[in-house]
Amino acid sequence: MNTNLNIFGLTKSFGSQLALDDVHMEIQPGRIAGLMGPNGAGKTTILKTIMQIVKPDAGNIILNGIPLNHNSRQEIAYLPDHNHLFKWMRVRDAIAYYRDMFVDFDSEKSKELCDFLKIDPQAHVRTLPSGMLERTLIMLTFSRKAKLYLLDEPIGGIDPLARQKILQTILSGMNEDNSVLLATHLVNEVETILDDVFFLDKGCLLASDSAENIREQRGKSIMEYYLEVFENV
Amino acid sequence: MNFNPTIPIYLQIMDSIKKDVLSGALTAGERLDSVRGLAVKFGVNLNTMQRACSELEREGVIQTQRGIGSFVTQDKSILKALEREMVDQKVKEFLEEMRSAGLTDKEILTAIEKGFKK
Repeated sequence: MNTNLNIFGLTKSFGSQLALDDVHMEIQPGRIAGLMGPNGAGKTTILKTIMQIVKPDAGNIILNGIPLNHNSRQEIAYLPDHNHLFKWMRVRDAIAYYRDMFVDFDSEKSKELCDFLKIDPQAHVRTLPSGMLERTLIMLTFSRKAKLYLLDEPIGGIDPLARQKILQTILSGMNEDNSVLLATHLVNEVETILDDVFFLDKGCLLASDSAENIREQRGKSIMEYYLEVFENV
Repeated sequence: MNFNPTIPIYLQIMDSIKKDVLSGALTAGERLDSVRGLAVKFGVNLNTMQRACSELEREGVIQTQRGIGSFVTQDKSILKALEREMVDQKVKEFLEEMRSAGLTDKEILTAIEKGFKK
């Protein structure tokens, strides 16, 4: 078993709108993959399909050699692009909620991450500024010992310090067995942490390559390659 | 650390560690942080850091002892070669830049002498 996630021919329409068109992807263990494209490209739909929130019209998703099933969610830590926590919660309630929901939740790790990210467990979720909220969500996500982390715009609209802390949390949460799929359109910000990139536009996968290949073979930064690929659409 | 995104990142990390060795920020025989720790410090993924470390090991700049960690080499000849390589490269870069600015070798030499006097 040497791939963490395999996606074959994923296709999905919402009414007459084609959201995903025959998407193939593969992510190896120990790697951080970036899923990039403009708004409306279908990034969130791919993540939601892996989470089985959206049912595909066609295609297969294999996680660690096994087709997705009702147990798969226990192996995937998902960070949605919106606040999914209950408004009445304090941060400590959210931690307790995650601990009850997921068997792989590590309370020690959540304490460490709260210290590192300077999160106050007594704070109310409702009143958290957006940078703090994003820190809280990343803390909850990486307190789990998941096989696959799905992150939907984890660094969108937040200050540089919070962004750096979040990227460091992602990096230190990695090992040889798990992998990360990170959906974002902030290409510059994630240049140095990515192993692989997937470029998506209007539901079609335009290109995929390893980050070092892009730099070594093409002599380009990910950003330059992104602009080249998307300019020729 | 600020990386140039068009140059392979592992090469830039190698350069940075070599520079630290030459400047004395890392001393001969000193133990390096773990690959994981270094990856977070440099802000890069584990695979990139691993690659930088194994290339440095291949060049003999660091030595890894299984289960203990990686250490800066104490081999004087390697450190000497490293210094020579770094100096050669910087001089080459400098000369290329000056020549592309249209200076003759003689003018470059005069400019350097002037620079020393300041």
